[in-house]
Amino acid sequence: MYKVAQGLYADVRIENNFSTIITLGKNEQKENKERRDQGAFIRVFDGEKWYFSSISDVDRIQEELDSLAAIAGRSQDIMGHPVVSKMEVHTGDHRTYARGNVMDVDRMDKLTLLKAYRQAMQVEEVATADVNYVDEYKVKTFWSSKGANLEYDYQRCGIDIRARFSVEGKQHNERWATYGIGFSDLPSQPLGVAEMVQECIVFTRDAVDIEPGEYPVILSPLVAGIFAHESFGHKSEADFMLGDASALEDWKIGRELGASCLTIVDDNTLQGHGRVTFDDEGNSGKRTELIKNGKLAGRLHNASTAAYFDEEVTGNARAMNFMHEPMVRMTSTMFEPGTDTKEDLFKGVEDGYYIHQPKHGSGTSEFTIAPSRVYRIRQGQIAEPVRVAVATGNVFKTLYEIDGVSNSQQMYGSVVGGCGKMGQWPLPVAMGGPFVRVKKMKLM
Amino acid sequence: MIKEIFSKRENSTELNIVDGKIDAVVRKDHTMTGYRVYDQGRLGIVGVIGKHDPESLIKQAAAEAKWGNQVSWSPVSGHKRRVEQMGTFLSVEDFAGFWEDKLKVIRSEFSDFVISNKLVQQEIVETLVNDNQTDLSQRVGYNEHLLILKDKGSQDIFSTFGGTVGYDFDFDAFMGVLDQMVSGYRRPVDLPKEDVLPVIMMSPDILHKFFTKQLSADVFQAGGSLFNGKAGQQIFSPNMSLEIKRDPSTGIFRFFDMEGVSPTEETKFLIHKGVLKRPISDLKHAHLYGYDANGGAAGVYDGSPNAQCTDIGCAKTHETMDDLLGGRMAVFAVIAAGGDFSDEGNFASPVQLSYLYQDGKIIGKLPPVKISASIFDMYGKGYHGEATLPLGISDAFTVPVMDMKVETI
Repeated sequence: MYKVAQGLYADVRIENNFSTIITLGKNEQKENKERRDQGAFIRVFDGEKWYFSSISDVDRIQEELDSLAAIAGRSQDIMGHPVVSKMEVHTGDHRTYARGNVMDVDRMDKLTLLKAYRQAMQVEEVATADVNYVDEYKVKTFWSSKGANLEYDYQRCGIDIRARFSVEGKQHNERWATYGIGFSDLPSQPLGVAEMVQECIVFTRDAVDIEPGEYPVILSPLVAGIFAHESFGHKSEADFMLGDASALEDWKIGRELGASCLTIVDDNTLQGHGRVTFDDEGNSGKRTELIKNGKLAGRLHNASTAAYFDEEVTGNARAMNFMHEPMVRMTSTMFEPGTDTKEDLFKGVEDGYYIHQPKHGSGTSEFTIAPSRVYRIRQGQIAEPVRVAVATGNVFKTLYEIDGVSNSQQMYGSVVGGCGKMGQWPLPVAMGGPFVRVKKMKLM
Repeated sequence: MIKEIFSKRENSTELNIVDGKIDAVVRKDHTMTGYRVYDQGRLGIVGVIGKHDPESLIKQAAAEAKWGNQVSWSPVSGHKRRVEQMGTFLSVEDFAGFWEDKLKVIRSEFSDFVISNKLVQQEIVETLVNDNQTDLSQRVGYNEHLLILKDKGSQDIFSTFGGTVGYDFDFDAFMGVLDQMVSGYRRPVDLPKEDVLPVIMMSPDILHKFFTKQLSADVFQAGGSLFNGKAGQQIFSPNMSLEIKRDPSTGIFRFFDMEGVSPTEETKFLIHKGVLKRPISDLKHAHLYGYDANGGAAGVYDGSPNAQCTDIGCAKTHETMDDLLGGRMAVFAVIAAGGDFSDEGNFASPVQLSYLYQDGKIIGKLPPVKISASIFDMYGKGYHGEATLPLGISDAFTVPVMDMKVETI
């Protein structure tokens, strides 16, 4: 298909992308567009360095390959190189969204659905609301000089509401979303939106500031997912350990990291917004246990990190789009369910807080969750609403503070936004889990 | 029917650094073009990446108008200007060769650290032309060379980082920043006893985003802003002015917004000497509600412009950070990620990497701290001013200094 000089490995990822973005304000349309684009990301490896190029004119791929080869060195045995040996060779057509494709849905149907959701926001206390419909369909073809030649696809859609409430001179910002793969997955009626609006009106009016301090906290499934993603997921991306031999010792598989009820998984195969059938190096998606029963069980790899650690690839080399190079990224990251019921978890808190809805999170050694809605827990019951700017703590200490995980699990996707790393934002991911109880967490 | 075309070309050479060496040489060159057609009260937009047939795209944009937003205003007329601000650039081969040599020095100098991240030469060309005789063009080229240093054996993703951002590049200045950051990292110090300290925010984006959210004409008009009812009032320090940044000679900013508007010396101020003047506005809100169209239109190449401009910041009050601080000690918050404001304007954030700073030097690395303050205190009685980033990190950006409560975590 393409010609590559001897002594070099090369691969080419071509993307054909389609997306729809419709945004309705409370009283007006703000955006209504379809986007179609095409481009390629080309990689050449000489055994020492990679040479990348991103182009939008796919007729120039061979020319670009030749140009990169001209500045690259040569390797005697490039196919035997440890990194190249980690590249799986898959072929064939693996597209799965031929039926129920969002490209085939009439744009008027998308607009009509969104208007039904907007209708639920027509109350006086909602000062502004952006009601967004987003869908995305990608077809990727991947070719490598090692023999890979495959085609696969990706699809997601969802509705995301961002509202600003204003009640008695007090303000509150809230996000709400529903997720799907195909258009028919989205509820045709705005289920749950009216309840969210009423809860937010009460929250805006009644919420009081907390006294900053350390408290018992219960995380909702979405907040638990953000915690799993930010606090530990990013530390599982093996590229941050490259070149650090001592880190290998510290991050030895089997090392105890947290409470025994704690299991965190990254699952590329899970149907949802984080699904990766094949990653952007052509490796197949896999399920990776990161922490199992409180002990380090695995980490996320691309071909380079798998070669460095002498471990297996996990299919986590992901790029935001054809303009970017793949790097180690999460897919669907979650706490695994435990054995307690949700009610049992709450009963165990005499005086604490329930983080119901997040704005965003971040994580290094200190994680943060910026909550939008938090409620006091009194004697095991959800009580009055409170305002919290940030929940934070040390990742490693907090993993030991987890003392309860509920037996049900809920997953969430990325409608507007996603994960950011080294300039690539937003990458769609999924996250979630059960309700998670933490003995103490700092609330500010 | 009025046609308008916005285009943005991003042309970069990047070096991905892994373990102190060049892991990848990256070339990117993309042109994104958005065709807008104002026709019969609607705005049709279609976008394309790469080569295309302009006539065909104009027809598609006209066809899109039936889906587009309602418009009752015209695009700008007769705006003509060209700006070029290019820094020193090297060819791909020379850029890689230069850093191949310099990374040997850096590896040897900081051998107890794992070094990673990106070294980037970025050229951006943006144009906006329309049937109303508007013809705007800006070409900028800058260097963004930032390295992450991770102490070998640390369980963290990073230990410290350093580098420079600006139109031109000076390797000695770059090494000077790295030296200061690393030497500071090696000298842990305790947090001073005072509850409240001046804090230099290296990345004030979170503060600017809060102002964008509160001062967007969209939110302001709907009564959803914390600042509603305060127009014309003194809400912050007389030393504080908040402005829309549209001067590429003072930073990496585009001189026109996504609708071709540049603010005047008067309308650029959202807050002037502490008095709330006006919201961030695009043409729509200027037309519908009488606000000043002040260069506040944001958006993507193929999107509808909106009043969500984030190119805002405080006006410079002092030439250098040391002029501003006048010998006082300050907390230099280098990485403060994950913080946020409550809806009432109370800010809190953990600070993952901070130093104690005085008289142009880093005294030492502070333990993890949290910072907090009310927006009205930060920019009111606690506001010290805005000056160029210290240590020579960048002449292209200024940052604020304000009193905040600083506590160890």
